[in-house]
Amino acid sequence: MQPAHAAVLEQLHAAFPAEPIGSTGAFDDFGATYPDAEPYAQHLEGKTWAQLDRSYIVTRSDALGFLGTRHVVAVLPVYLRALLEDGVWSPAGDTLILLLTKPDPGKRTGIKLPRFEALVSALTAAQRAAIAAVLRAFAATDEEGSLGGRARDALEHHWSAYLPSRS
Amino acid sequence: MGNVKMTIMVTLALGASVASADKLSDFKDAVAKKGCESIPYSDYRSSCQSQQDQVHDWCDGARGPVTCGSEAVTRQVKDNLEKEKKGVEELKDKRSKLQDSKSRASTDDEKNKIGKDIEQVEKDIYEGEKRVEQAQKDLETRKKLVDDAIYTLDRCVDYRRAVMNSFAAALDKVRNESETPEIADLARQLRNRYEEGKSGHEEQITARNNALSTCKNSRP
Repeated sequence: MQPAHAAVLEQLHAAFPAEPIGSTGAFDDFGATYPDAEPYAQHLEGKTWAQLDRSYIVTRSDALGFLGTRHVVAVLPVYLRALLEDGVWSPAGDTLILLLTKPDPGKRTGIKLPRFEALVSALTAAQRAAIAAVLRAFAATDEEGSLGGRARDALEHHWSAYLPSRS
Repeated sequence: MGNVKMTIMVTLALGASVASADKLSDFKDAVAKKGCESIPYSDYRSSCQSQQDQVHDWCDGARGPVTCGSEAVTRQVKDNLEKEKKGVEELKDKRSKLQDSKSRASTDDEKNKIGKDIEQVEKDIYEGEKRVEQAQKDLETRKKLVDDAIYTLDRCVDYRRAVMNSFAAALDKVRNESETPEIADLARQLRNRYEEGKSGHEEQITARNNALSTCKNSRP
């Protein structure tokens, strides 16, 4: 891991406290049709984000499309960390960046605007800043690649507002 | 004749009532469950389950790679091969010039000195050709990974779409369920759930299509 990434990782840990996750209701709002809802919820139950089975959670990144907003926030640091540490090889990279990309009006693919707005509202200022820092750090590692390009789009569309301004 | 008619009518009414009770039970089960189990129709449910098994196989990485990394990886591998080939060409030019100088050298000392330089350049060419060979292997390895990932992701997307379609088919059917007020109420709950879950499936298909597009751009 690059030294700059260590600082971002620290920021991530500080922004997302290690609190036990209760899995009750995790898929009640959007996840009734998610085929892996039960095993995923079992993996979450009672663990902090840092204690989760990272390999399983990252492989099941499709859960991000079906989890309720509160639970997305709870597991988000696992996916952000994977993006930082595994870079372009993270199997969750495309799903995570899609989730974090504010959709253009009228866009038919990707996350829907109300869901994106609900996610942003559920985050603290420190969490928004940590997400922006991860996206920026990742984008810098893939300047010529399309995933890096998508991370830059996500930053430009929304998250860059939470980065400290450069004097 | 009247008795036969009555028996048939009672049998039909009983049959309809049993079928309705079975259906109610299926709908109650479906509402209590998540995923494919939340489909009350056995044909769509089993299709959803078998397609979901394939989703695991093809999307989790068991059947092949599901990410190509970055287009930059392909560029680096190709650039490295070009650089090594160019290096060998330059060494061959150098050797040719040294051989020319050697043929024009007037003293034995000069010829010996140039001969040693040629020997060193030949060693360098040998090492350079080994690096070219390795760089070619790296490019073939990259090509194989990209081709394998395209194949795997294509199937992953197909099976994900098939799972989504199982719910779409179930949604079409529950929209018309109104046999009894209880079934109609459960059908309405299921319809709402399927509609709420649709975007989750679509997001996953988009994410995998994005990964597929990265792979297609990464072809050497």
